[in-house]
Amino acid sequence: MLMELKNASKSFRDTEIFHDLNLQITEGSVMSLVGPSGCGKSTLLRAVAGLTALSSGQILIENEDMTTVKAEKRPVVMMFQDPLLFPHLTILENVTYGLKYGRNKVNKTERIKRGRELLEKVELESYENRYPNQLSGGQKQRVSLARALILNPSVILLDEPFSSLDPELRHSIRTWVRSFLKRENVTALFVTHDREEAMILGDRIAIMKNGTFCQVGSPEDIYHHPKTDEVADMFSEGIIYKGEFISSGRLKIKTADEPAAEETALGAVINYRIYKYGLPFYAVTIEVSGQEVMIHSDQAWKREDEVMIAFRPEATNELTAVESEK
Amino acid sequence: MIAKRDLQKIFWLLLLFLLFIAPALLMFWRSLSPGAVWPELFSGEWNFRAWQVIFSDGNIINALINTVLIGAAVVLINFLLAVPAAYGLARFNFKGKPLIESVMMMPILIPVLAIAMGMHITMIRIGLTDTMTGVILIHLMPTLPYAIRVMKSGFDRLSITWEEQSAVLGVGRFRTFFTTLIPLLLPSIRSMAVLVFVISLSQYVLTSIIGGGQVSTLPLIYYPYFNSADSAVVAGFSVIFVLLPMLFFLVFEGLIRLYLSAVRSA
Amino acid sequence: MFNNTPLKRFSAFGYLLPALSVILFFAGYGLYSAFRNSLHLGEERPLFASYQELLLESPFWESVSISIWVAFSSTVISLVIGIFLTRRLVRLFQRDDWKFAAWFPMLLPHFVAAYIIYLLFAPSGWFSSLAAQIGWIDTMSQFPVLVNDPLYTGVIFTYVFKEIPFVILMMLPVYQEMDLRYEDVSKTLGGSDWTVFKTVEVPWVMPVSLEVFLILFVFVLGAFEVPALLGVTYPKMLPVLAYEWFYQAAWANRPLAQAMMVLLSAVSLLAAFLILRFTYKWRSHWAMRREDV
Repeated sequence: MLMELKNASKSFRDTEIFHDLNLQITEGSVMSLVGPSGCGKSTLLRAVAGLTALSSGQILIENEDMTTVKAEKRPVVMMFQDPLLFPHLTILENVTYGLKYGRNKVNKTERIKRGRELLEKVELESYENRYPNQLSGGQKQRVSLARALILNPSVILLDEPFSSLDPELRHSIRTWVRSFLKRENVTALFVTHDREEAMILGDRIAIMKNGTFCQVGSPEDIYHHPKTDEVADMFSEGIIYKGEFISSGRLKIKTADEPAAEETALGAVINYRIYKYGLPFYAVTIEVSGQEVMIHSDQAWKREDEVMIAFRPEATNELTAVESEK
Repeated sequence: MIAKRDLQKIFWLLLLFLLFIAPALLMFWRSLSPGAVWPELFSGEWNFRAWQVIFSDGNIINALINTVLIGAAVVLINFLLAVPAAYGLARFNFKGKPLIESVMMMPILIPVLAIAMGMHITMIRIGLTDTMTGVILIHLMPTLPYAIRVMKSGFDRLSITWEEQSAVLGVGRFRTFFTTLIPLLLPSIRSMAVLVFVISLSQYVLTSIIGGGQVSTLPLIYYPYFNSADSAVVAGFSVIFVLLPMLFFLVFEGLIRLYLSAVRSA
Repeated sequence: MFNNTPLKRFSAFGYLLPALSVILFFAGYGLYSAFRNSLHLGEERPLFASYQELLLESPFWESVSISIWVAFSSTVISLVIGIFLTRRLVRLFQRDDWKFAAWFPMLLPHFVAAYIIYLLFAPSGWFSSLAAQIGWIDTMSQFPVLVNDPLYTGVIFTYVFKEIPFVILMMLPVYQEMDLRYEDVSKTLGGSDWTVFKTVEVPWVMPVSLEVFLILFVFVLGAFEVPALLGVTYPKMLPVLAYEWFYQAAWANRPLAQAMMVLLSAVSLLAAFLILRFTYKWRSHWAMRREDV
């Protein structure tokens, strides 16, 4: 196991930020940490980086206890929301910053050689003598990534590194980062509040709320089998019926007399229609529970149409019992 | 066709120039052209006589050297004291912080004359009167509160994530300070240095009381000159006070360049 | 590493200690010994004799009134002009290249500013020459006495010339950070220019203005340099009087000088306390109202 959290807890004054967290990350894999703001995910990341201390519990990296090691001595590098390139240094000097002043100092020729290698990897080799203010936001984040990876960290921590970029750039750079991390076989812990980003980058995903992990697993697993209604709400699409989660893909919109005898049917109202991925989707509100869900249908429905939402309980063997907490 | 807005801009720039810069230029001209006799506004003749008088006066040269040395020392000590203090105030929250902040502003909230008069006997006892050291120390009073204030707002504007970024890249605090914080804080350091130098350069009464007339600085010679009949010499003398901070600024800027290139090549 | 553990709190004091001890030694101990020296300890005269003498002494009260006159008028004029210039220039210029021109007098020592005022406003000065050229006056003596005059006009001019840039320096960031959208909101809701000024600008600008007022007022009250050059022998401003007493009669008048400075310090500190408390309250009051919006 490359990185491990054991019963990690953190309180600040009287407020508990997170408690009793256990997590394992294998070498070369990316773990996405998703949760709403204030759930403690950023604090957890800072604790792994060593920027804040745990109240109790342990952080192990390559089986070594890092809990009390200072930030500058840990084999981890963190990337922040902003690229934070030092404005008085050139791009090459920024990339080699850690090799020059950090733990394992490297001589100048070697430094420059490795700096250029990394710049080549992030496809910015022609920019080495520029200054940060001459680069675009996406380029800056790539330099920041190179600056982190030149140190060969055991784990790289990414704190919403795309949130300061505009949406278009965001889309292209996250795909790029994903393939880059895979190509370089980097182990990473990636914090985001964006479900899609978490799925794109993460081999595994940890869903966090109110300082605990609600569920940890592969994206498919969490999407299809959310363990709690909160996870279903945050990460999946579907409805909860009698303590069971039914994915949106299993739901059909029908008129009142259409449902077959073996189907469960719930009264619902059509709210609006959108198009996505070439298909029409309808937002419907289930009458009994008030849940809103997006369902694909090839039939044409109008706003305010009263319809039935039908599904076959026995056909969906993937159904998972949901712990009702409410 | 000039837009109305541009005309307004020209008007205001002209006004600022007339209010704040032109008077100093008039003073400079007076040092070169003493000839104007009332009610003549400008006289055409000019020469360097006043400057020759000034630079052939050994007392002035001696005072000039003292003044620059004192000013540079005051700037250096201010830097050493104000940077940690500002860091402490900007980066930590603790009980009693408002109180400590007000105490640090105290020297500019009470007359410095009161401090100098109170310290006079004590400083005689510990042998600091009549010395450069004593004068340098007493000059800390009107300068240190401003230095702390300027540096604190510098730290306040600088996000703590810069320090954290450096730490996660494996760089210790001490190195981070010299390689990252100082370059990022340069605008504040620059204003602090010039402000402190000018304030130190402006001290008459503190230098007079603590230096006891033994430590000769430019202001101490300036006062007797003020009412002298030779208006060109007074004007030239005044111009020196304007040139010194500018010269200091240039030298300081050069030192900054040296520092930055030393940091990068080290 | 950046925690607020007890150890961290301790190290905060480590950072503050050097500057704090220098300030406490000079300002704190200095003020304390000024106070001690102003008392008649172990003498036959009453302990507070110098304070009695001071308060019954008429030149002292004359000096008090001229000092307050100079400090108040120069501070108010600098503030009004400085704020007016700042709000005008911030709105006119997007970039603050102009600020060098406005900040130039900051580079001048006070006594050099005094000399400039002398050069301009003395009976033999530049404006007097100008008036003669235009034909308004025929002799120097017809020009109004503006320097070394009993009303300290020249001193006030000097302070205004020097302090306007200081006001601009302090107010500029305040105006730059002021969210002009609040003004737009207020205007679109139908507020007149006056309401906009009253409800948007004043609350935002007031605390810093008061602090600047305090710093300048206290500074002018206690500064020796300018009135020593452009003042008159009677009445003297307080610091000039204190300086004179300090060296008079083989140091015999020192307790009197120190008593005056102690009183001045006490009044300054009291004013600082009241003003800072008021601005603190003002800030929290308006911060709450801002959140309501």
